[in-house]
Amino acid sequence: MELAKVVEKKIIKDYFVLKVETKGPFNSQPGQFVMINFLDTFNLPKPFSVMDEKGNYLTFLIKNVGPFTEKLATLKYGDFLLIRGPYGIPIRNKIDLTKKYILLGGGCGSAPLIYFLKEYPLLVKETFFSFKESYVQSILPDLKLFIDDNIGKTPVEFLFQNKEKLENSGMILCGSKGLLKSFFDVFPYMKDWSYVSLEENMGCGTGLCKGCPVQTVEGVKMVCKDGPIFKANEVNLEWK
Amino acid sequence: MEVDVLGIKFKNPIIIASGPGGNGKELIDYIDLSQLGGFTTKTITFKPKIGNPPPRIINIKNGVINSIGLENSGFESFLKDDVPFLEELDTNVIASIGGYNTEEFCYMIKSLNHTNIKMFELNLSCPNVDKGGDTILNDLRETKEIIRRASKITQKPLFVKLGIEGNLEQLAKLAIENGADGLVLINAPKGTKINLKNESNPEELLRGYGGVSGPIIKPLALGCIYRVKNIFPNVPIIGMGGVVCKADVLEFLKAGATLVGIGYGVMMDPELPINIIREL
Ligand SMILES: Cc1cc2nc3c(=O)[nH]c(=O)nc-3n(C[C@H](O)[C@H](O)[C@H](O)COP(=O)(O)OP(=O)(O)OC[C@H]3O[C@@H](n4cnc5c(N)ncnc54)[C@H](O)[C@@H]3O)c2cc1C
Ligand SMILES: Cc1cc2nc3c(=O)[nH]c(=O)nc-3n(C[C@H](O)[C@H](O)[C@H](O)COP(=O)(O)O)c2cc1C
Repeated sequence: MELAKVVEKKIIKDYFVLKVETKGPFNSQPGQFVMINFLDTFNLPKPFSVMDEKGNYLTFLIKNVGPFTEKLATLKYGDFLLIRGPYGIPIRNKIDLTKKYILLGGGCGSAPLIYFLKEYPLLVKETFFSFKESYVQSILPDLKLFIDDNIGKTPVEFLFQNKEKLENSGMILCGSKGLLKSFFDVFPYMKDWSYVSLEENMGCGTGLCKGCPVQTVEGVKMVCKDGPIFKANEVNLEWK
Repeated sequence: MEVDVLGIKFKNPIIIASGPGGNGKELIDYIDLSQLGGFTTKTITFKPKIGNPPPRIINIKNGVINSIGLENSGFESFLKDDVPFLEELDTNVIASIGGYNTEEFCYMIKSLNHTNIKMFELNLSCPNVDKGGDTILNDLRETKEIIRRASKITQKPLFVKLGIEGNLEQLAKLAIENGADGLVLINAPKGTKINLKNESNPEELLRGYGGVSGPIIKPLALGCIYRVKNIFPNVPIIGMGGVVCKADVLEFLKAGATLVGIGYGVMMDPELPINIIREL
């Protein structure tokens, strides 16, 4: 794993943007993630999507949800982390490049889509970087966010009332299984035009341990190695 | 740090434990396998197994609970797609075999006898399958029969992998007396994590428990090696359980292991085994 130095942290309540400096470029592409670990533990590393890469800097958008992200949230300028990657298939390598896409991110699921918008603006029709709470805007000041609390609806409810937006466009969705399921419950026909970036608890992050399975029409695949992006009509989100 | 195990030369005592290194193809993107003492395949079952639905990985402090369920594409596919690749490797390959009965174990061993695979490891101790090795170990007659017949049909060294469940001394004795050449200690002990925030499903894993790996099990592994070494000082032992640094390797060797396996450490960082070998 490579050492990375924390050079910036913008934090607001449970969300934070973390920027780290690495020895050399990681050459990540939108949709890819890295495995992050601390220097002082023998716990497993955890996956985080790249929200931006420029030169020797990687930026992440992280939500504090448990012990690992809690510890990340306490890092200070100059602290060091361990990082390896990038892993996963870039979104661009899987999607139909003749289409334009609506990007729907739920919470930190927006991170890879923010990177996608920056790199491929011409492939994007509209964005819904959605968050429940408006305070997140303060750490992502330059982005147009969809704030549920401000608009009074979830992005899925909003799209239900504005169905015409979906006509002739593809969708790229990234977020919790709950978000993905609620979208396809309302728009089952969009499965054929959508790609989903899946989150599954991971072990190694590299396809070795078989720890992050998803059931697909071609059998069981690994989210880390075969994804995280998949065609929506190829995966079974209900596999239990 | 060359090691001789029953006439087979290992460049160093470090081998990849069964499971977290896949069948090698996945690992060559990250490390040069020829630097390893050896490489153990993921446990191969006769029929393909799709494995358990998610979640398969539960993070715990200093370890992991896994419930992979022996996902693998079955023996025919292993012969066709993996063996040619494994035979080309410049390291000792150990095939981990997981059958549901004596016939399956023997069929697989026979079919691999003519290959370049150096040793067999009978996985009689997987915590994650309903009818697999787990119940076999509970059935001492079948366990005995499998080891006895398997050892008769192959010239290659035969190791038996045990866990902490069952009477270790008794099982070790049974394995050795029926023809096993060595033991692999230990498989991941069964463990459960309770999540108090998850009211409906506090165990999180669908089976309620999984196999615990990583530094958290190191004292258990060292204890098993120590106990077996006391009864069988000359039987080679492949020790594993939470090895993540050079000091761990030295402790396992001191306790009596001849070779040291790394599983969890590969999940932490695929390069970890090579980094340790450099330091030895
Ligand atoms: C490919 C990939 C990319 C990711 N990118 C980001 C990112 O950019 N920013 C970010 O904040 N997080 C991201 N995650 C999720 C992140 O890895 C987890 O939030 C983190 O591991 C939680 O660890 P913890 O110890 O803090 O909390 P835990 O105690 O592990 O988890 C707290 C709660 O979150 C749930 N949870 C944990 N991990 C996941 C997961 N992967 N998917 C759904 N629920 C989960 C748990 O079930 C639990 O209820 C990504 C995950 C994957 C697989
Ligand atoms: C993800 C994972 C998969 C495993 N798969 C197998 C397996 O297929 N066969 C087997 O005999 N042991 C399997 N094991 C157990 C390991 O080989 C090893 O016995 C155990 O994890 C202790 O060593 P460690 O702490 O270095 O991982 C697996 C362990 C893990 C973590």
